[in-house]
Amino acid sequence: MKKIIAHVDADCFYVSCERIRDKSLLGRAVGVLGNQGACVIAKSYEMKACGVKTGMPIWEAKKLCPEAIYVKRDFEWYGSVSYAMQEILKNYSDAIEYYSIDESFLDLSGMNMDMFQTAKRMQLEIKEKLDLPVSVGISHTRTLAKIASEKNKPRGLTVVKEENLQDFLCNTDVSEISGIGSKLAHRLYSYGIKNCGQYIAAGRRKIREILNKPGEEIWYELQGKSLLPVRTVKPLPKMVSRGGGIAGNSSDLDYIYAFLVRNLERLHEALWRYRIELKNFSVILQNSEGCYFTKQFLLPDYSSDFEQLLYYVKAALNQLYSSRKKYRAVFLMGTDICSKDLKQLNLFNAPDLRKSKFNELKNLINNKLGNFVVRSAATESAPMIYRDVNSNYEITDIYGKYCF
Amino acid sequence: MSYKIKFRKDEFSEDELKKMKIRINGDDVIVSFFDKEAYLPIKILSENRFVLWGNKNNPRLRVPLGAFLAFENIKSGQISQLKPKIVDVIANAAQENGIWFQIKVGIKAILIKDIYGKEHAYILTMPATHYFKTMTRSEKMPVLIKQVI
Repeated sequence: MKKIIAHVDADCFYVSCERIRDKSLLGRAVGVLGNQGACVIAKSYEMKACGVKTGMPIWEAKKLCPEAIYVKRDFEWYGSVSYAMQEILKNYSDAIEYYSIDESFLDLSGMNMDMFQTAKRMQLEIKEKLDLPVSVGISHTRTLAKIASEKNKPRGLTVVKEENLQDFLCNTDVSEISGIGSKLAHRLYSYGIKNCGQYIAAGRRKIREILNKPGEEIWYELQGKSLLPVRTVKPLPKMVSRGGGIAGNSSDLDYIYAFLVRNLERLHEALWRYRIELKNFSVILQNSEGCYFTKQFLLPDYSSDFEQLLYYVKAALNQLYSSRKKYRAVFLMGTDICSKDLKQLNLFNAPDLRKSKFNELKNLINNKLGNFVVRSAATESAPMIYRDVNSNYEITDIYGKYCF
Repeated sequence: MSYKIKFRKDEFSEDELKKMKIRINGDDVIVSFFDKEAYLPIKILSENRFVLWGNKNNPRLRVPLGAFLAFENIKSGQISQLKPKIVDVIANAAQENGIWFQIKVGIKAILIKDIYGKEHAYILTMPATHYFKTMTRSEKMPVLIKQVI
């Protein structure tokens, strides 16, 4: 029996989330700003029509779209809307892959239903309950479903079945396939493969030669043969990192330290949430010229202990920092990760139960009341960076999704 | 500085808007300090009304010239003799150096009376946050209500 897979993709998700709570933004050119207010990370269709591209600096966007309204990004709010969308989709299937903040895959196989009507009901229910516009694609493979949902946006509804598959493939450029970026698309073009129909006609061997195994998987998927499942359980991350800009270039040691500690708080929260520990820990500073300076530590044992990691942060800062330089960003990265529940315990170092209870309580309070409500006293040196509650959330703080 | 603000036209009745000879743009109304007669829409004791925006160029009124007053100066009591009152400016967007940015609740302003008893409202300003500076290239920003940019 053929699989039935749906892909639900919110339209202009960040802008749509802002419009849910501010109706005066409806019908206007709206840009959501990120990177400390420097560039457009999401845009409405009205802004897109003016030629503004995602990632464009605000001053260039202003020239193309002078009447646009700019909104500061609010990942806490976007996360709430995203989770609410997931709750609605659970009414349609138990097999859901929370792919990204605004996209999900559902496995609807074995359900006796009309594909188009099901897609329509999902779309209407999300619009009714959240006032969020989404596009839905349904087909026999996740690759086809994802391409389908991109067609006819916004509020698109596309079903690809055997009857219309050939037409669909011939009218779909290879660059529309998820996983085929512009570089790979140009490589395919050089072989005379421009659309998905030509991709299949090229043959499995040829595609494997050009694009290796992932390309071969797509070759099967485009023909309606499902190889890539809907993934309902997210595996443990191989790497965890937190970091970003420090709001202006600075050579102030205390200020830079405060941002490092802020990101350590975030990293620590991620380790707690995923129930993981790390053994390889890197501290990275980026100076105002864009150069990176890294100090890497191999911990004596897997750890998620805040004080221990803070010790390494201080050690790294002492070694990397130069008062003659200005810094623009800090990053913390953990690799060589293991699950806390599967960790081999050490006979000689008993875990500090009081500390782990305290950290558990801290994370529970912050989870309920907001990031950084309870935080280390080491953050004392820059209290102003906690003034803006919006900045306390990044996209990486929205847990459970595959991307980021 | 934010010399232009936008607000929803349904904050006021049609008659009130006609009386003020204000520019209406769809569902929004735009007011500018550089309008011939500049007015600010304010909310005071749950009543919406228009008052003169600052003082364009008449020192004889014995109220500060300009459209804005620095919040630090009000806090330090510099114009306490004018008995300033804090009010809310009704706005859903403001423009700074050509960039329109969202206002979620409103903007803080102060209301003072000139020697003839006429009210003037001045938008309160503060040093711009790094974010606001990056977004608008302005060193000062309006004092927003329940919003941090």
